[in-house]
Amino acid sequence: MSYDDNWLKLQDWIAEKVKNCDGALIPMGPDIMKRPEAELDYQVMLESASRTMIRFKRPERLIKVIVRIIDEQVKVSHTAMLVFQKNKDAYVLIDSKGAEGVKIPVGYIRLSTDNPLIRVFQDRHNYKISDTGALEYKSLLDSFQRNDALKRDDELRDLFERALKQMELLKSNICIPIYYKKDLIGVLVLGKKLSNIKFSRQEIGFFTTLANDVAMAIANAQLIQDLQDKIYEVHNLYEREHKIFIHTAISLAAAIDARDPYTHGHTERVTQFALVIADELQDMPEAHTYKNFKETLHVASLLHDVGKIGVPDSILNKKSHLTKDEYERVKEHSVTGAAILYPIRELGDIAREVRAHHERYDGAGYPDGLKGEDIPFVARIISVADTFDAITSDRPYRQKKMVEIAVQIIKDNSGTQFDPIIVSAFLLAYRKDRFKNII
Amino acid sequence: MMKLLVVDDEEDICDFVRNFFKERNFDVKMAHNGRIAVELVRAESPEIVLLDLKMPIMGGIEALKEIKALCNKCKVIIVTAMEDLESVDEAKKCGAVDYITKPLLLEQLERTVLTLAEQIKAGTV
Repeated sequence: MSYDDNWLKLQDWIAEKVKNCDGALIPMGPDIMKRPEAELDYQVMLESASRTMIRFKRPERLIKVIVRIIDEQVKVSHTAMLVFQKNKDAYVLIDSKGAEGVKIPVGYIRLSTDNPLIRVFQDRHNYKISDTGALEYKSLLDSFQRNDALKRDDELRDLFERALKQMELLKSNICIPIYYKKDLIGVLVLGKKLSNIKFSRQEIGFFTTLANDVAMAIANAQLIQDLQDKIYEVHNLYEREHKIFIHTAISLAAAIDARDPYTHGHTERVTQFALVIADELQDMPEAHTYKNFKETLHVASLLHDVGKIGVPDSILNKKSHLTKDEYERVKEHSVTGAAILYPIRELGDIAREVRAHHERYDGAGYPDGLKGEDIPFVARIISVADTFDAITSDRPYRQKKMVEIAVQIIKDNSGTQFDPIIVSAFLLAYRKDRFKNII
Repeated sequence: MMKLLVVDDEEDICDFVRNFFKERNFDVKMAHNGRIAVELVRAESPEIVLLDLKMPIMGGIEALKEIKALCNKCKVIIVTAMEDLESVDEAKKCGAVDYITKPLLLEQLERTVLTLAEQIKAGTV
């Protein structure tokens, strides 16, 4: 089998494995979703990887899988993944593969934060390293001849020369940076291809994709860990210090919100809308089925989109229309959100509401197709608030007209998408002008 | 060719370091514990020993003492965990010339050993 065939097969196999799992983070075009059949051991590997992703807890396992994929499929002399560790203030080797004596032993080396390689990747805005963002030994060597910027700038040339020396120490032909937002959180180091052929753009692109997945897995794990730490911290204070608990939820919600520039402030507004609507529903018998109705609503609204953590940035930030597959990925967020919150004891009840916030009163919603009163009460309120904000914030200027249109849409969908009782409460609040300060 | 003895209980590390210094023109020997290290020092009298402190069978400090007793001109560089700087003091008292902390910087590994090799050649150490 030729090299290219192997390459395509690898991509297929990954595409096939990840497209249906929650929180799987490999964004790929629809064109490579077609071909079937994967080899069994890879299936096992990736299934375990995707389980890891759902739990968001063990990014090291994903790293191991990725390093193994590269080692087995791309056939390089060695592969190593370095990840930044705060307590060591350095990039530490988490996993590696390769032939005896060539493989860099796990835990044996570190790259300090002032390492020239790290600096080249960190200062990436000051100059363009390459089209792909990866650092290739050969191209870098060539650039000393060709690149005028390097000829002129002594400091830059010195940095690049020292970066080259680092690549020699690591016996690396190509280094791929791993970023999360603006931070360099790791580096993927690859040796030379055993075939001695240059890395293709396609390959480098693929490594970059894998690097992004690692970034997301690490960042997600950190975010979830932070949340759990905070929840644990406030556990004992829960009764006395309600505020801290709510603030924890707010800070998490802000982290989620920050990922999606197009709906900035969405979570906060939905929460405010939901609370205002709830004021009109205080005396409903359904409100009394909750131990603490207002608080459940408050926290559930704040966290309703927490599952978006599992949706790739590439989809979340996409300006054009989503493909069907992409839309399906977005829809997974309510299930993912519930899965994240469920294990946290204090949030167990919230998980149910988060899972159901895209259900429809007529049963045509997702993920469970719940109908009418089978949809939890709080989720039914969030549904109205969520839609209202989606419509009113859909324009750069939230004109008065958009508000009127949104109110009309909510009215029109009473009894189909929305619970008529919630819609009545919504209209009551609207007539009292209670949304004024939120929009 | 200068002889370098690499002592580490992890085979991966020995293999890697051996390759690393072979390419830098050293005659590299390996030992996976302190006992074997001492035997190799007796048989080969390497100029430089790169000694991991934490090993089973015979620990680094004990091995260091025996090595220095056996072959005083052997220059020993110890390798130890970042957190374990106390044993660096002890090792220095026992005659180690330098130390490297793990996880290590490759450039430091290279520089420490090459500098020592040059000093040995020049007779300044």
